[in-house]
Amino acid sequence: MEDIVDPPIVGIGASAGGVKALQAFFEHLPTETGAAYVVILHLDPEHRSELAAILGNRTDMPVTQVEETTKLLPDRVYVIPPNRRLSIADHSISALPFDEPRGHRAPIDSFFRDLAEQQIDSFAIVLTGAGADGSVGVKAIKEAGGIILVQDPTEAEYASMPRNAIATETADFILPISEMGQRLIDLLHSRDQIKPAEVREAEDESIRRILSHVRVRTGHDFSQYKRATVLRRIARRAQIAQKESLADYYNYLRENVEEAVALFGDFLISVTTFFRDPKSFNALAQQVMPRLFEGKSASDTIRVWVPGCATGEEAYTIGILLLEEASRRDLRPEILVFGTDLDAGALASAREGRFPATIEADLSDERLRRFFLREGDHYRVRRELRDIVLFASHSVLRDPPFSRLDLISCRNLLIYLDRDLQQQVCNIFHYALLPSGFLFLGTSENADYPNGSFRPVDRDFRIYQPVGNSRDRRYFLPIIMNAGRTADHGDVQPRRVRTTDNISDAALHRQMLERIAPPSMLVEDTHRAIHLSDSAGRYLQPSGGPISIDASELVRPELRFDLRSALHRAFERGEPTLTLPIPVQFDTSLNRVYLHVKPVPQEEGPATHALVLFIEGGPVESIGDVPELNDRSPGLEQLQQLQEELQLAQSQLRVMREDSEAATEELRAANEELQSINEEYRSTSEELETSKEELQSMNEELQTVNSELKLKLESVSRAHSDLQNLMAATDVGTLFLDPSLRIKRFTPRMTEIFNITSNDEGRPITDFTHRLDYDSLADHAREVLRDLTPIEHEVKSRNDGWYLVRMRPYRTMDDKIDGVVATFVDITRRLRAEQALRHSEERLRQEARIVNLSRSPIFVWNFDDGIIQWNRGSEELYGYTREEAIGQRKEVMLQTVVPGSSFNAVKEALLKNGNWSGELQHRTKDGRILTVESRIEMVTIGDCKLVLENTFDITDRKCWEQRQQLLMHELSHRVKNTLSVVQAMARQTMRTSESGQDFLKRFDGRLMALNQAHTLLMNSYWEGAELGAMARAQLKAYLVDPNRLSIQGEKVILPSELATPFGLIFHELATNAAKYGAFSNQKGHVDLKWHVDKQSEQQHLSVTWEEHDGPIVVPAAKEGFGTSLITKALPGANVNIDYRPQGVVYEIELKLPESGPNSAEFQPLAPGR
Amino acid sequence: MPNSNRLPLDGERLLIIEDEVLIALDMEATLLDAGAENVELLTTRREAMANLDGQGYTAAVLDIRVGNGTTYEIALRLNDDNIPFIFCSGQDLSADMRAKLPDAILLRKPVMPSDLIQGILQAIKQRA
Repeated sequence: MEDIVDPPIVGIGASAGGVKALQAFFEHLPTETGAAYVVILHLDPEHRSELAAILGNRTDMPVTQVEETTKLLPDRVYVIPPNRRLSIADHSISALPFDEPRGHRAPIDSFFRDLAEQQIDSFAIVLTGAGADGSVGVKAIKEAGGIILVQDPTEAEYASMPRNAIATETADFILPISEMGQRLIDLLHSRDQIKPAEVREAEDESIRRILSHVRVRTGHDFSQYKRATVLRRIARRAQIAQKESLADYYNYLRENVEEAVALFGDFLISVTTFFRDPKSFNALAQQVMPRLFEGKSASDTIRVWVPGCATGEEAYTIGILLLEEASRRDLRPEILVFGTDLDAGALASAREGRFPATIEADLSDERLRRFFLREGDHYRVRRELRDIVLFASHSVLRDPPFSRLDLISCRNLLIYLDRDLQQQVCNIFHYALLPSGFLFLGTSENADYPNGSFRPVDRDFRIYQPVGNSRDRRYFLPIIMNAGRTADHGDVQPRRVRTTDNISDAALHRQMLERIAPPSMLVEDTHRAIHLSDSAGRYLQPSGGPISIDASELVRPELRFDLRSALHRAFERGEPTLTLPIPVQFDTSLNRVYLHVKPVPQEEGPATHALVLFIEGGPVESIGDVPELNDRSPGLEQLQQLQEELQLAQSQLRVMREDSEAATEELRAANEELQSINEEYRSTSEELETSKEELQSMNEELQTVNSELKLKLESVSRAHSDLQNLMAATDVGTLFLDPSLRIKRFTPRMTEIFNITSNDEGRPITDFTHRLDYDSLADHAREVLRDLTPIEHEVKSRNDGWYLVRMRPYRTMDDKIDGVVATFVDITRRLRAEQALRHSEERLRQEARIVNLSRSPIFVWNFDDGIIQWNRGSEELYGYTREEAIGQRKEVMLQTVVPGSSFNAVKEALLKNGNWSGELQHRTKDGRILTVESRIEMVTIGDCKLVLENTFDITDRKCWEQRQQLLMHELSHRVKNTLSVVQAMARQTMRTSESGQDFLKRFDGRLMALNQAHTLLMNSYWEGAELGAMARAQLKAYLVDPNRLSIQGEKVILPSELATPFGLIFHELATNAAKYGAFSNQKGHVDLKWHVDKQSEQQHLSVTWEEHDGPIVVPAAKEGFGTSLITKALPGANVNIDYRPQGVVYEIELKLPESGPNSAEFQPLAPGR
Repeated sequence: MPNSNRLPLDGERLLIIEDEVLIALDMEATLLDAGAENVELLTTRREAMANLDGQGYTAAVLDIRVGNGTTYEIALRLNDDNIPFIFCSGQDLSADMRAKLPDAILLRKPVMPSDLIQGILQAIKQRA
């Protein structure tokens, strides 16, 4: 009670699912328990832990995350930080970095082991979790006297960690979380009742009783185990049983059969791990292992014994070292490792060779790979290792030891034994080891007890070798056997070897008797010496050779013969013997000794024991007094004695032979029995083989089923992930409702319509508001459920959108109706688009009407087919009505000609550029060829290529252009011609002119005449001139006086080629008349007459110029230019000049051209006319 | 009007086909002045075709367009008869005729008298 400051420590380990479990645990725990709680959870090393805060909400105790070394205080909770392990020392806790890589860490085991080493009151609690962390630690805690509580695996979220903890058989309580708190408080309370340190001497009796009870129940005596350990273990059990005193516990023990077994189990608890204390094993591997193999051949055996092997780790460790050493050598002797223990449960798990995955911390990867096989959370020892280790239930103290051993490894046993027993055990080890063998002890042990029997090879690592020869060793064996035998018989007489301070009166009496009585020796019926009195040593002198405990071999040689015969007589006949005095040579004197052999009386049957008394007489005074041993002449007495001895020997031999025969008989029987057992084994083995095969086939079937299931699972999970992705990706709001209209599932789009979150699954849809003008949603859903027919509605949303809501029944794979699926498709845009479409259709119709009414020819044709549109302009231009045109191929109907190209080239250009423009020739319905300017555009709508063609008639414009060009040519020709005419006229006038004045006058006159003629022609567009008009124009100057000139004639149109010459001729006639004729005087006058004779087809023109009353006519001597002009100007004309004295008469006759005045020479001017 | 001096067209018998009388008269005067023995003036094609054979023309001057037609037919006849001729016109020969008569000489109206005489002489020379 002195250190209230140091509270008991409750270590709590949890992993997966641990947070919930911890919350529940602390909720059920009162605040003032007086204990300190340390919580170890597997945390993500990368993230900050919120565990302290979370647990702080569930308990009023202060919760802290351990950051630095902290003194543990009662009623506080300490929480592990991420990526650290917790270590405890001297009631202080500290967080340290991990030594192991991630994945090999076991922080719970680590802390529990640390806690166990503190030797303070501790509790370990293992809660839910995956894996096996904690299972090694709870063993350590239990060994140290702590109490283990494990969460009921059926309740735990992850049962693996609790199950593994329970599998160590160390769990004291397996409870649901809710009961754990109360149980912990009870345990904390009862811990105050029994404290090992306080057990008084007065309670020794209770302890003795308890131990003897255990011995009776289990056959194992723990009275010589270390008192402190034994007390601690008993106190622990008492605490668990909630007994307040050892006496109470003793009563409880007597009443509950199981408790004895439980206590026995507790006594045997020991903790071992692989390579526990690695440095020692390292030393063993380097210093001992190679020497074990030295001098061994393949046929030899290396024998190793591991007493107190518990669950086998130590034995397997030694096995691993041996196999590793063997693999370094060519020669491999047979290896045998015996692991022995009292605890059958521990041995069973050792035999199974299955260890939790946390052993990873103790074994290198290489060893794990070579010697272990991973099986889920566990490792199983591989066959190679398993085969060399044998486990047996065996008591070092009770059962005969193994022998001829090369190595004994005993690291976990001696510390539990008191000094005497330790010494005994060392003796046994000495016996069992070969002289070249080794003893390997735990770090806290040594082999110094039997002084000189072992010598240290390495004192630091407790490696020893036996010293002394085999004889010396054998010396100790009887004692041990004796001790063992005592236990074997269940002899109540305890602690024979133990010297105790409490000497009873009976013992005192016995001592005194022994001191006074003659020296004696107790011999059993096999002549073996069992016990010697204190002073009997004087008469003993063991002979050389192998040590023997045969009484007659043990005594001095002088006494041997007599003793043998006396013993014989005592056991054979049951008669006591007192021998004659026998001279015995002691160190200094030769004394007489009498042997008194007395069989110990038995109630029935022959005696089993005999007492030999050595009675010493006085010294032998002379040689003669006593028969000399070395006397060469034996006396009669001696002979008699020899005969007797012979007889005795013979009878002994007979007995021996009989014995031997009986033994042979027994052996034969035993052999037969063995054979039958062997048979049984064989058949059992066969059965096992069969069932193994069955198991294998079943295993295969299971594997097949498993792989099928795996495939199925895969496809299910793939389908599930597909579904998840679909849900996430779909743009369609989808809502799954169950038959009572609760939300089962929905896509993210739904949150835009309904005020729901993913937490709302399972709540009725009617609980939620939505943004739709759709109050009958639930009614419709019910309707769908009732009628099983889908419903579709267009619904307006409150933000001006539109949704298409479709509801259909939800059918399960087996065609059951399990709710309603509602989809919400946003059709706002579709509706708007429809509206826009309607608008544009309307506009299009308007435009089409305009096009149709247009005067401009516009038509549409299918690129690969006929005309599909034909407007009024086209009808007017081409003469085909709409009905005639539609469906016709445009190029056929209009006989399209592309000047300088082809229609196919136009089509190719359309395909390439989408448009074409240029000149085309089209034919109208009435056969006219039109030249049109065409603009063509192609529009592709779907796979239909529509061609819009707009034509513009340019036929007239073309005509005008041609005509203009002709005119230009004509004009040029005429100008040049006219110039030539003027040139010729000038030159001819020049020839006949007398002077420049004269030339100018004549030339002007002729030029004017020419001009007059042209003017007339010009007025008629050069088509011709009327003869009368021509005459009047030329003779204008003489028409003033009607008496001088009269003009008579019908209307005659002259073609242009005749008009000009006539003009000139009239001019020349008038000029001549003015110069020489009728106009040269005052009274002369001229008659100009013509008429046309239309007798034949040819028109005949006769023109007469008749002068009167002029001067007398004198024919000109030389024909002037004027006259030759008159006669020659008209081609084909007949000109007659009659120089009458009263006046000259000119008669001109000519044929008018057949085609008449209208057949003008400008034919191209009116093509087609 | 014979001349004691040797004139360029001395002794030549020439044909002029020209429907413009004034021009024809001028050409006639020019050619006679240049020593032509005889100059026949024809103003229509019909006359010309009727008066080609056996007249002993040594050279001819042809307007291209005469009346309603052309003098191409006459030119081809002259060519066949190996009579030298020149064209004297305000317009060009058609491409067709140019191909048939590649060497034909064409004088553009209005024509200087010396050019006319030179043209005739050249045509005579070509045929020599």
